Amino acid sequence: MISTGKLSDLFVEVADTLVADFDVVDFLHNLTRHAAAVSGAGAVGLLLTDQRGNLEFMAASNATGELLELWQLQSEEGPCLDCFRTREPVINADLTNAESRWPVFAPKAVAAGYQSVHAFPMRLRDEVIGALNLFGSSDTLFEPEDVRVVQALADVATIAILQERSLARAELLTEQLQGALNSRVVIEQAKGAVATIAGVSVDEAFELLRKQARSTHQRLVDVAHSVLSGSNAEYKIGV
Amino acid sequence: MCRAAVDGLGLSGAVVSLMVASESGSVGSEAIAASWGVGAEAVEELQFSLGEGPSRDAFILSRPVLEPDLEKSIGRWPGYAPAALGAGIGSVFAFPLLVGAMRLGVLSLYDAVARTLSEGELADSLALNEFATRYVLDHPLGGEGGEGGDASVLDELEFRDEIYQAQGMVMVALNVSLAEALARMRAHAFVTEQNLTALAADIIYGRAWLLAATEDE
Repeated sequence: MISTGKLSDLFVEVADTLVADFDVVDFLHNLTRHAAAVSGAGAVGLLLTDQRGNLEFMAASNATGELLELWQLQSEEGPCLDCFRTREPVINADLTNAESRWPVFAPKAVAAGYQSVHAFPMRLRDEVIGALNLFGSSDTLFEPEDVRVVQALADVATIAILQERSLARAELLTEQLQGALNSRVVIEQAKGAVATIAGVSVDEAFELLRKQARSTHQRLVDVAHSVLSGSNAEYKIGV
Repeated sequence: MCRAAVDGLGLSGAVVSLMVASESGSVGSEAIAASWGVGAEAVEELQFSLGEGPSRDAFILSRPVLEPDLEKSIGRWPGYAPAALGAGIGSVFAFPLLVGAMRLGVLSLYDAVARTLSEGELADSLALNEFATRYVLDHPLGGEGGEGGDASVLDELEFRDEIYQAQGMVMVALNVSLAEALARMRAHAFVTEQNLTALAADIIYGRAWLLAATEDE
């Protein structure tokens, strides 16, 4: 099930990223894309806690992944929410047979073309700070060793958010988590600004922002901030 | 609200400071909008004069800055920490009032002793943080901003990606700040009796344009 070739690519990128001053939003976005490639899942999404008992959307491998997460948040049911509440993974759940468990969400996910789902908790000590969600076809089933690998990916996401090895202060989690959630919003605002500046769609604007971040070795969120503070005149984004 | 924070969380003080970013992204100007608790305002003002401290850091970093024990932060704030300790403060929890890159100020909670926030207290603080952000959005200083103070519009401030994206678009198209862009969107939604998310989608897909700046000037 797990593609070992793709897995080694992933670990090289993770190692490269985690040692540098990296962008957590961009990193989690890439992580969901890698998780999809490695596991064969068609869509992967990631939700984070707002520390007030709710989950918020953070990253997805594609637009469908985002939609599947938003549907769960909207209907207040689904594998990610179960995983967050119970602190246990949801593995190999059959969406075509889950109407009693998720009456609103399951039919929508099936209609979107998915039959199986898995959700892995992002654990930190005795807390769960979010969940990683993978959607696939009827044959995207995980063996125990696959489960360990995907759980490791969820753990990498947790480490990325903390960005520091020292977990001595509980306050650090709040600072990093709230900062990450807000960074995502900054990037959405910048997508709109760049779309208007360059006359492109918001999706194209996102690619332009990422390209800009890569070519100038800046964090995505820093590029987004400079676009929004109007100090990006020299960037000529979009051409 | 500051009083509710102090009473509800068993703290010694709470202050809401409004801040404006400078060109470099640091704090350009700042003013205290509300406070409760003996000496809270004076401690907050220390940061204005010293140019360092948790509120300023929360604003600059766009994330909470939580210091459960000021004794341990003398290295971080060599001027501020000893002065705040001298003024009888043991812990500080600073939460920025912001939505993405739209930064409005900071809610700072103070206690006389070194202490942490429990899980429940943290959730309450984050709820107060959001409330203060919405309140400041609805009551901008200097009369700038929209008319969308109506409760139904306020409920609609369930921020979604479309709203953030449209906010960025309006900012560029009308050459205004993000806060002003949101105020214009809310005013437009209010006047046209449409919800903000629907308006945002119309803006993104080019079906709606907010009137140029002359409209409100």
